[in-house]
Amino acid sequence: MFASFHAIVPMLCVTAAGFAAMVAEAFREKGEPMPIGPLGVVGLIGAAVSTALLWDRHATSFGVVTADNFGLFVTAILIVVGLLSLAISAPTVEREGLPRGEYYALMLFSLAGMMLMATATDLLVIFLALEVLSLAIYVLTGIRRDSQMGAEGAFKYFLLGGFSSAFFLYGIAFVYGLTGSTHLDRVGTLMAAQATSSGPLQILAVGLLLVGFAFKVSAVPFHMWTPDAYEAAPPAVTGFMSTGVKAAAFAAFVRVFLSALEPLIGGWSEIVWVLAAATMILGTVVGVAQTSIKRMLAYSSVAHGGYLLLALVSGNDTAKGAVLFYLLVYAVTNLGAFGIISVLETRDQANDRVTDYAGLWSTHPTLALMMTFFLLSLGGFPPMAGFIAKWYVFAAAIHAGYVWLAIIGVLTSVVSVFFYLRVIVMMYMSAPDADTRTTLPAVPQLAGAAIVISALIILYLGVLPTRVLEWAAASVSGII
Amino acid sequence: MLLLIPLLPFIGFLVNASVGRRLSKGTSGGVACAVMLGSFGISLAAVWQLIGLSAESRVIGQTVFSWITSGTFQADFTLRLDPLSSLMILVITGIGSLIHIYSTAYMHGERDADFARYFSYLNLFAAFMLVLVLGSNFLVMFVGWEGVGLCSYLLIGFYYDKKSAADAGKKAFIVNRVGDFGFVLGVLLLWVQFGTIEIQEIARHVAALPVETSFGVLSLATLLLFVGATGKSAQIPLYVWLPDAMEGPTPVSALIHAATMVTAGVYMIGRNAVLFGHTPETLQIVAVVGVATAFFAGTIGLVQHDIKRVLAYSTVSQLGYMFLAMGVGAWGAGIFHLYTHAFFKACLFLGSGAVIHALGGEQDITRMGGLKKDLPITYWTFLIAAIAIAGVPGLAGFFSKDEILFKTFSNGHTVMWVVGVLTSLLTAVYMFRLVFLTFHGERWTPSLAEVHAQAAPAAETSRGASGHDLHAGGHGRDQGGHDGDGHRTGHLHDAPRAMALALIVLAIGSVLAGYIGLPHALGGSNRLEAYLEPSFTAHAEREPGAAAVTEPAGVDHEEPDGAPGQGEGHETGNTATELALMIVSSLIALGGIGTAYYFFLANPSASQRVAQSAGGLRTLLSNKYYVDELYDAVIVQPIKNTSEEALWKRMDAQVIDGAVNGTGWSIRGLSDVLRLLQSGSIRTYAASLLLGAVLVLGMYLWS
Amino acid sequence: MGLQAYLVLSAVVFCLGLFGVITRRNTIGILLGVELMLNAVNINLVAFGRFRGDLAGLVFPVFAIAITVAEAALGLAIVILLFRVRRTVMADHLDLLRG
Repeated sequence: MFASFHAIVPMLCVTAAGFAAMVAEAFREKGEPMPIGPLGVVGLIGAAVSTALLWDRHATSFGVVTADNFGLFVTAILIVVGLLSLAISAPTVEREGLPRGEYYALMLFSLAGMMLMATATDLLVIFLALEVLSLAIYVLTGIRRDSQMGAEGAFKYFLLGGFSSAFFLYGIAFVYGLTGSTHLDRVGTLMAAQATSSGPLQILAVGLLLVGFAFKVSAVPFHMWTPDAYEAAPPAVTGFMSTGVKAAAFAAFVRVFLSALEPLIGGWSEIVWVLAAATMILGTVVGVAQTSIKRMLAYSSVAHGGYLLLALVSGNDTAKGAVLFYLLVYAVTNLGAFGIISVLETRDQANDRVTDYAGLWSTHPTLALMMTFFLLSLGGFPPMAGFIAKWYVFAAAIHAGYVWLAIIGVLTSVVSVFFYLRVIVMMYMSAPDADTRTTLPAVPQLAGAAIVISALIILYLGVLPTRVLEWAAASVSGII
Repeated sequence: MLLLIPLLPFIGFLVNASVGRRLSKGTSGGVACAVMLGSFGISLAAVWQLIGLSAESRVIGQTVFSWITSGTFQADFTLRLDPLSSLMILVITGIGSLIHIYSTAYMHGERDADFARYFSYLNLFAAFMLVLVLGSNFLVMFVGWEGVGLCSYLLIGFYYDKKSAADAGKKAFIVNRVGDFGFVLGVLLLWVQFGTIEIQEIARHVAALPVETSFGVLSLATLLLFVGATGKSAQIPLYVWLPDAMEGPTPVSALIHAATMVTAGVYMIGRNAVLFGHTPETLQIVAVVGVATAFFAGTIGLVQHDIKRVLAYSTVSQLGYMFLAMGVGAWGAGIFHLYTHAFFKACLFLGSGAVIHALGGEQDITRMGGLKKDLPITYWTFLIAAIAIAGVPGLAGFFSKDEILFKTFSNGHTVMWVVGVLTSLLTAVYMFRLVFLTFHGERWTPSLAEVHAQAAPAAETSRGASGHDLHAGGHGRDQGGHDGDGHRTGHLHDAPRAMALALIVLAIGSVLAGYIGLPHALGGSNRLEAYLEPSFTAHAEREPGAAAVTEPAGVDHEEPDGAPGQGEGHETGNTATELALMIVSSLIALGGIGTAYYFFLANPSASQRVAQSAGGLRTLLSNKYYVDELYDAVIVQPIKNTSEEALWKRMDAQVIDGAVNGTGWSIRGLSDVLRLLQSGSIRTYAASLLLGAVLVLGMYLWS
Repeated sequence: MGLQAYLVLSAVVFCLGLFGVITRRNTIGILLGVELMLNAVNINLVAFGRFRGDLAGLVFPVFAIAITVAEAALGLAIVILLFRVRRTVMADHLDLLRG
């Protein structure tokens, strides 16, 4: 019977680490420095090892969690996200005097939820995972308890999250009513059998599920929470949630819509088409006017969700592989960028206006260089990894015949470079404004190392992407 | 070995970008020049090796690493040296080295950190440009394509504390992005069509297809690629960024905005000659756009007052010639002109840089004059380059421009030929207007009123002239006593040694560069075109099976007008035509110079003598107005009216500039409006979510 | 009563909740609206389970209820936090984050 546990070992490791962090906090004397972050690292390493061991095994636990390669690839992305997030969180926790046990425990629980979401094959378990990860993230958003913005952002995120959860659960209820099951493969076959006669129940079922996912991946017009929550949270948390949540949500999105509900693609693809177009356009256009880098990156994250939707609507195998590769690249890039924002923050100054970055080149040359890499990658400049990721997504769309959507994608990514480059220009070509100048802090070693590693990863993935691309492409065969 | 060619400048970039700030100017400039010269040396060796091969097998490839392999898609980071790219790398590294050397003197007034920053950008640019021309597939090419755009943007905005420079950078950026948009879509389309992005393989596939007589997929793809080319190479309607790009340091204008980067579009079309050869519809557009740009920019060049802007419009115009050549299928001629143009235009820009340097930042040609005595080296090299570009027989520009015009004529495009010839008249006039106003006549001295007015921006002359006070200030930092007025009245210093060296070498090049392409009509054998020819046909390397299909070298037979193969183009009957055309264009060039002499040199000085009795101030004023009045009244009036009033002010400044800025502003405005939706109110957010849900369900129900 | 009736009831309750979320100015009221929506879904789940004669269908709501409770608890905690730092529970006053 223990064989049945195999598929959930990675998330068990992470959960155990989360519990350990909680317990450690309980025994910690006030003010005693305790290495709680490293506990999380241990858990994530355990998860990494078990993920490697599970590769190609196609283990299943309890019939509701399947560790297929697709899920494991996303798990691997999440492990990377987790490790980098732990590293860039350390200075924030230190500086803000956050309750470290709680902080790390929440982060690890939420990671476990994300992993569950990526490997779940039952709608109800997906919902459970969604709630596990979301509840933890809501708290993390407002973890700075004395911050007015933090509380407001957490509340907005929480409330809209709950609101969309209701839609999602309603969709699941209809799926269950329609097919008598919530298990994805049964749902798939039964829905396929009824595919010809799409009654109102089926429309409600698929439509409401779509709404739930669209919220989590911040598709327009379900994106309203994104900029506010991203701005309110400490940058390290924003980095974590903008990448982890997106990866987990897209994994489940692909699993549900491209595998279980694929027979109904004729019905939903047009809707996703519109969502993708609206998301790319709005995210890019509104990003142009932003003055805060955090908000700019929040809108950029919305736009990147649009590119992923573009791959989703294309629906072929290239597209699924492209989603995985894109998620990885996006995760590493965005975490790197938020890592930089996070180390430049001080206790009383967010330092996140674009003008705060003026002359960064002369004060923090390495950070400026790293930021350049990240921004160029987000903008899709070759030879950064972001370029390859975008190329794949657009190619998949054109292959699938979605030429107009690809044109919108290319056009918006062309426009988006405008705001990425504005920051680059600020960093290299402006003298720091003497009056409003706040002294930027020194860079903590651990976070600095995480940032450099992120940059190396995106360079590697840009220059030698073949191996990872092959993995991604191989992982998508046989998703359920 | 090929890899070293772009790698060396890249290493130079790394050095200057990382530790450059702590190096002395000598060291960082030395490093930058050394890597360029090293790269030039290796290029020479590589080209020597290439020439040693037999004509059919002149290809050296190097796969640096396997870049992307995934499923059916494969793109290696492969560099490919063939006749076409060999010519390009020689131009880039050769002229690039000279401009690096020149820059060590020109930029000497900058702070150490800025000096290193300048050279790091310049080296990075060279590395990307080399990648662009050496790339064997579209993806590698695109790496270079985007990279040079980025560097150009950084260099245009080099004097970032100057608003006009920052704006110019932004404009260049926006316009180039429009072009990139077309380029990416074109490449994607080709990939979907042929399943590969290797340029040679696409050529092989295309060669097996019939020529696309009506507008089809290939035409669309080439048209999209051409949109990319118009952006990078400043053609109608995307040329507007180039004149503004003159806000960058002058050596940058010479290297990037005259000799190399802006020719990337021409190169790209030449690289894909087989593909474009199969789409006559697109070629027609290319030719019309090219010749229209050549003429249009030429007329604007006539009325500019800023020395660099005249040269900028001249560059746009010359690029138009190259596109004309591409459009009529005269690939070799287009590339030939690209190559000669690199010499004389770089020389002209560097010469103008020497003038600006000597005058402490003055760029208005109406405030120059009589510099011949004080700047002899600059004068003579500038004059040689001007003669070359004007198309006087015996110099580089003559051979290449004539080749284009001849091919245009012999391919039956008579109207375009007429416009082309008219443009060469314009070329001669505006170039010699520049020469005469700058170097001949009397030295311009500022009136008392104008000395005071100096403090206020002297914006009446041209958009670019005003901002350069800051630039002058930059030089002033190191050259203490040489303040503006001292420059104007006292003794001027000619180009320092490093600058003089570059000028002289380029001037020699402007004379001699044409002789490797000496046409048959003049007893030459057009060696250059014969050398380049294999690059414009589909090769069957490594695929002997496909040879039978592709060997009948694509372009020749589907261009019934008999474009590029010189075999048929140079029969004895044609030689007479060619000679006749040459005589026509020579006469026109000389006529243009004569016209310029008459209006800008002979008459003004005569009028000046008359007016001398009226006192210095009025002399100068009337002199200036006299020139303008003559200019207006006699011949230039009609051209001026159309070009300055209608074309430049309306078309250029309002419509096209307006479109570019308008796009920027409308996106910005839209952004500001859409931001309001994000009102902060949670109930609005919930309503938007609900609205979304209703839309999703509604769409589902409806479909 | 047939399945139809339960589905209609659930839909009505769901819409009431929706209405509450959109129109309430008080954050607690909005929270209650969300709870109403989630519980409407539970009615739906139970009804489907009951009419399919499927035990699993009756287990699902238990899951859902547990999650809903956790969410409600967290929601109240956040509202309290909000009140502590902002001294208000009115939704319309929350506009520090915008644009």
